Amino acid sequence: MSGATVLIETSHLVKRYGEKMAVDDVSFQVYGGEIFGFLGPNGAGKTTTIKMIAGLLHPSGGIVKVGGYDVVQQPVLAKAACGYVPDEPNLYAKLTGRELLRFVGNLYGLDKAQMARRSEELLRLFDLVDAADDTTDSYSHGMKQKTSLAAALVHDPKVLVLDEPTVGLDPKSARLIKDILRQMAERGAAVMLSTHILEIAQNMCDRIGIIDKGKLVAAGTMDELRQLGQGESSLEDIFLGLTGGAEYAEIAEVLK
Amino acid sequence: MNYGPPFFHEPGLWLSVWKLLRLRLVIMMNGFRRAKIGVKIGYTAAALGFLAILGFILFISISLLLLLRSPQLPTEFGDITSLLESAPTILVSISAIGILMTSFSVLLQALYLSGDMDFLMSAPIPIRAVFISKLIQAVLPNFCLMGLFTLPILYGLGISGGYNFLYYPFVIIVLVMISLAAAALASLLVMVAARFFPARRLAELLGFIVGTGFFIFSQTSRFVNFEGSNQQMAGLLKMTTRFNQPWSPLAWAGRGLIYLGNNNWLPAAGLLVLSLVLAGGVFYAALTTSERLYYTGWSSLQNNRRKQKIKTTRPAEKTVLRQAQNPLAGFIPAPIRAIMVKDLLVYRRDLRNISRLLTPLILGVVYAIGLIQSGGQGFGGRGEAPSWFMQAIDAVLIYADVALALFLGWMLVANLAGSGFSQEGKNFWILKAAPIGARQLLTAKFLVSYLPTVLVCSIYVLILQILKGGTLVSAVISLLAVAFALAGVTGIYLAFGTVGAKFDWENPAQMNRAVGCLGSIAGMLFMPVCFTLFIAPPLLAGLLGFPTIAGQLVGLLLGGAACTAAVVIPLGIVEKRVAMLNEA
Repeated sequence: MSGATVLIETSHLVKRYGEKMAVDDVSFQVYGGEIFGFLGPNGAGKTTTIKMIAGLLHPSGGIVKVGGYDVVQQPVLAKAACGYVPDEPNLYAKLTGRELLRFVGNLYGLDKAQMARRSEELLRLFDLVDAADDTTDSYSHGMKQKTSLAAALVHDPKVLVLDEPTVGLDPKSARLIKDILRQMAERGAAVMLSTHILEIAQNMCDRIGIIDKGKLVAAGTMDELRQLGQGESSLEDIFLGLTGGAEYAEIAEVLK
Repeated sequence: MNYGPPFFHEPGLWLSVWKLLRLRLVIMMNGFRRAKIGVKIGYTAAALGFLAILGFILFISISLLLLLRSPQLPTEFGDITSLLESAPTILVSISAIGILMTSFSVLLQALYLSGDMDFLMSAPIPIRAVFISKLIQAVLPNFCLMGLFTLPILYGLGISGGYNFLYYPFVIIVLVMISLAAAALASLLVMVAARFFPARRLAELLGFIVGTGFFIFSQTSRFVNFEGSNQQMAGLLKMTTRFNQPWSPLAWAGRGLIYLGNNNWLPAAGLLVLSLVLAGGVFYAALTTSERLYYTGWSSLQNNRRKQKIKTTRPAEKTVLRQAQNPLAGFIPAPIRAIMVKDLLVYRRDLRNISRLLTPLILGVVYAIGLIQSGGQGFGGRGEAPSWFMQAIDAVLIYADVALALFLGWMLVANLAGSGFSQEGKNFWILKAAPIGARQLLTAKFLVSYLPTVLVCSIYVLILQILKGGTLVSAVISLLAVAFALAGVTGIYLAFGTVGAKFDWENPAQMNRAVGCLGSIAGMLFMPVCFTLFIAPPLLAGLLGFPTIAGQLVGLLLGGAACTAAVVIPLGIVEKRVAMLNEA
C-alpha cells in the first residue's frame, strides 16, 4: 500500500476520561482502496477511536486526519470527506427515510437534483423504497441500520467509517453491505469497520487492527498477523492469543 | 452439560408478585441511595409534606364535618344529611374514574414502552404475576395521590359521625378493590387501543389531549362566573347527589360503608359483599382477558392502515416541489435551511412538542380576551394616586399588547430555543458528524426558534392593534419592539440551552431542563428590562413634553441595542462549546 493515498491517519491518539485511558497512544493508517478491520474485546476502545475519527469525540491527545484534513483543526473539511455509520442507528423518529436522506444530503452540500437522484438510488439499493415515506420510528432495527448506511453514502464519501455495521441485519442485507463496502474500496475509498464477527474481518478486510485495553496490539494483513500469532492460523486464535483467552477455558469448565 | 435446573420449584402467584414488586422497591431505593444530597432532601421533604397534608386534610375534614353535622345548620341551609351520606359514594366514584383515566397512560407505558415485558414474560414466573405487579405499579402512585384526599375525608366522616370501627378498614378494602378493578379495565382498554394504534403514538396523542385539555379547562375556567351564591351552591350540591344512583355499583359500595358505619348490618353486608364481589369479578375478568390478548399477540399486532395513508398523501414529487418553492431558499445556506426544515418537521409531527407550543398560545389567547374585555383601560383606583402616576400607568397600558406578545413569545422561545440542541437527543451524531461549523449550527437553531415565534407574535400584535384601533405607526413600532426583544431572549435561552444540552433523555420533558435555573432567571429578567428600555423613553417624552414618536424611536434604539447584545454576546461565548457537545 506504499503507493496509495493515506485517507485515515491516527498518530499517538489518546482519549482520557478522568483517570481512565480509553484510547492509549494509538497510531495506524488506512489507505485509499482498502478495507481496514478494527477488532477488539468489549470496552477495548474501538468505538471511542471510531468516534474520534468521525469527529464525534475530541481527542485528549494525538492527531487524527481524515482525507488529509486534521479532524480537530479542520473539522468541517474532514467531516465532508467522511461517512459514518454508528453502532446504534439512532435516526430522527419523525422523519421519513426519504426526508432523512435529503436532510443529510443538504448537510453535505449536495445540490437538489444530485440529492434526489442519489437518495432514490440508495433507497432502491437498500430495498427501502416501499418504506421511504414512512417515519423511521416504524422501521425495524435492520431497516434503520440500512437507512443509516444509506445516509452515510449519500454524499459518496472518500472515507467510510462503520461501527459494527452488520449487527441486526439479515443475511441478504449483510451480504449487500459487504458488497457495497468492497465496491467502495475498489473505487478508491478507504473503509474502516469495527466488528465482532471475525469471519467477516478475515474474509473482507485487507488489513486488520486489534485493540485491547485502549492500546493497538497488532495491525497488518492476515499474513502479518499470523506471524505475530506465533503459528496460529485462524484470526480467532490470533485474536484470542493477543487479547487473552484464558477465561474461556474457565467458562467451559463451569458449563460442563 | 445439564439442560434443566435440577431443583426448580415453580413459584406461586403471590410470591412472584412480591418478587416483582420487591424488584421495583430495590430499584427505587437504589435510585434514592445514589441520588445527590439535594435530591435526597427533596424526596424526604416531599414525603414529610405528604404526611403533613394528610394530617391537615384529616383535621380540616373532621372540623368541617362536625360543623356540618351541628344541629343549628339545617335551620340555616336545610337538611344536608343526604349530601353527607353520599360523600363515600362520590369519593369512591371519583377514585374509580380517576384511576381508570390515569392508569391508562401509566399502563401503556408499563406494558408497551418500558421495554422489560419481554424479559419478564420469558422468566419462569406466572404471566399473571407480571400483569398483577404491573397493575399494582400503575395504580399505586395514583392511588396514594387520591388517598391523600379521599381517606382523610372518609375517616373524618367516620369520626364526626361516630361510625362503627369496622367502617375504617372497609374504607381501605373498598377503595383498593375498586381501584384494582378500574386499573384492570384500563389495561384492557390499553390492549384494545394498542391493537389499532402504535403504542408510542398513542402515548403522544394521550399526552397531547390530556395536557392541552387540562390547560384549556384551567385557563378558560377564569371566565366562568362562579360567585358561590346560595343558588349556585344548591345546584352544585344537587349535582353531587347524582352520583348516588341506586343502580350504580359504585353507589352500592358507598352506601354499604354508610350502613356499616351506622351498624345496619344486613344492608351493609349485602351491599358491600355485592360491590366487592363485582369489583373482584371485573378485576379477574379484565385481568385474564388482558393476559390472553397480550400473550396471544392480538394486542401487539399492528394494522397497516396508517402506512398506506402516508404513502398516498405524501408522494416524493410533492416534497421536492415544496422544497423548490421554499421562499427561504435564496437567503439561507442549504445546511442551515436543512436543519430548520428538519426541526420544524419533527416539531410538527411530535404531538408532545405541539402540546408544549400550544400552551403559550392558549395563554396568549386567554390574556388577549381579558385585555380586549377590559378595553385596555387603566385602573380607576381610589383617586389617591398622583395624576402623573395614573397617566404613566395609562401610557404603559397602551403597550399592553406588546407586553402580552412578549410574554407569549418568551414562553414559546423558552420551549424552542431552550431545548434547541437537547431536542436532537440520541440523533445528535448526525449533526455532529456532518460538515457544519458551530456558527452555522447556532444560526440554524436560532432561526428555528426565532422565526416561528416572531411570526406568531407579530400576527398576535397586529390582531390586537386592529382590535384596539391602533395607528400604523404604533403597529410598526410595536412589531419592531417585539422582533428585537424576541431576538434577545432567543439568544439568551439558546446560549443557556447549549451549555446545559442533554442528549440522553428518555422522557422528552427532560430536554426542557437544559436551560437550567440560571438560564430561566436570565430570560425572565431580560424581558422586563428590555420592555422597560422600549417604553421608558416614550413615557418620559410624554412627561417632558417631547413628541411621542421621538421617545419611541429612542426606545427602539436602546432596546434594539440591548437585544443585539443579548444575541451576540451569549452566543459568541458558547460557540466554542458547540464542538464539544455530547462528549462525556
